[in-house]
Amino acid sequence: MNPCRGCFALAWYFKPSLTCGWMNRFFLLGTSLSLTLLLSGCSCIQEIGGAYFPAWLLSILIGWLLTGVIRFILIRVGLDGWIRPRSIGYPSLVVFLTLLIYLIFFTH
Amino acid sequence: MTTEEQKNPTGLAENMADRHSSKAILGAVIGWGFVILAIIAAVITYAWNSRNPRCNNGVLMADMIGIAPRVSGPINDLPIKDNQMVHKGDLLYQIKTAPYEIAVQSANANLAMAEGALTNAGFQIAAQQAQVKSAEASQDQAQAKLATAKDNYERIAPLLAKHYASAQDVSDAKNSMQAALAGVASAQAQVLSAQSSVLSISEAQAKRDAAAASLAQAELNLKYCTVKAPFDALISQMSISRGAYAAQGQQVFTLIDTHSWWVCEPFREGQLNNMKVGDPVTVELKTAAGKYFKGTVESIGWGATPQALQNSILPVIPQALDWVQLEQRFPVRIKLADDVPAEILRVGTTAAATVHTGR
Repeated sequence: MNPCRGCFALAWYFKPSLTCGWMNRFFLLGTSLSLTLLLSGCSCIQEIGGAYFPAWLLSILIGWLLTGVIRFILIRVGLDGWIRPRSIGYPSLVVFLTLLIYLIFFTH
Repeated sequence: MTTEEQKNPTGLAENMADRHSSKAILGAVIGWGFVILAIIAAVITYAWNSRNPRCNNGVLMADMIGIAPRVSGPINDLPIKDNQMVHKGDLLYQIKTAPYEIAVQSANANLAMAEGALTNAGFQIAAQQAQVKSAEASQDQAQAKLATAKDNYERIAPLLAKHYASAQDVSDAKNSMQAALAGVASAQAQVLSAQSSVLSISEAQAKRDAAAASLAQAELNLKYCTVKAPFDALISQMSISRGAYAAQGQQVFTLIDTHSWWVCEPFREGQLNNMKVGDPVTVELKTAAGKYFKGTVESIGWGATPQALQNSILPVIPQALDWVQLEQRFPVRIKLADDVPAEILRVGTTAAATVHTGR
């Protein structure tokens, strides 16, 4: 896979949906909001370049990236199209991975 | 070729359908698995967060005192440097003592003078008391004279009628009695005069006490020239150097007590529900990010002023939409355990704390 195609593919995996964009966007927004509310109560802070960032922000970012990786794998094994319920499956994965990372790394 | 064979000549389509249905089941399992995992993780996170309230914008604090000279003068010894550690009893600085030594000598001399004056006053009073006694003796003498003159008159006066005594003799005796009477009055007046002229010793005593107090003050001022560390401490914000003139009451540096580290965390009011004094705390100091130290909740603030109310004598009506209301924060004082390495403890360090309630 050449780098250009790789970038394109990465962007494609993160595209919320190919079928019902508005609905997925709605759920993704909900996901982010609920994650923020859930985690902001006890956010650790991480120093990045001289400023402290909340841990939930980092967790969500890593959650999103890991979800992209998992979606990539599921596409390669041909299961992506069969994930049901499609509209909340991937957002739930984002929530799960975010919280998992948060619970493992940022609770002391 | 039957219809069945026409539709599915090799059985491929049936195979495909099987594979599709197994993929559909797997997809549903994965999809719903994600949802269930997310719900479980959310429940765990919520439970953990509500039992372990956390606050990130705290600061590390310690008891601090500003050191200011109690007497003025040039600093002639300053063995300490800024940011240095000192132990209890170590010399911090020394103000030139010569003027204060002279003041002590002067006060000493004043005291000696006052004591001498006190002794003199004692002698003077003794002399005055002797005068009183002398006047009293004169009074007794005058009274004896009066008694004699009275007896003489009383003896002579009846003899006048029988002409055994002349009128002259009676008149003389009467005059003598009256003179003796006047002598008694004069002696009484002299006693009173002598008594009232006896000085009181209290004035000299008060002067001696005042001189003694002045000496004590001068000695104290001399002692104030040498300033020693009142506790184990770190020097900070040193604004003076050797030879500089230290003015009385003007702060020259700050001492940070190294045995009194605590963290002040402004917890939100909603987090104070289950928190109580003595709860264990995990503290992260950003001077050693990634390391966690133990502490305990020492106290929870009983009051905090919302920003809108500061420095105002009139009601403050903030010009803002108030459909989002920020939570009030209260300072929670967390005592740090003693095992925190001294080199990372700095007043003002950003500190994050997690209180473990219900443990």
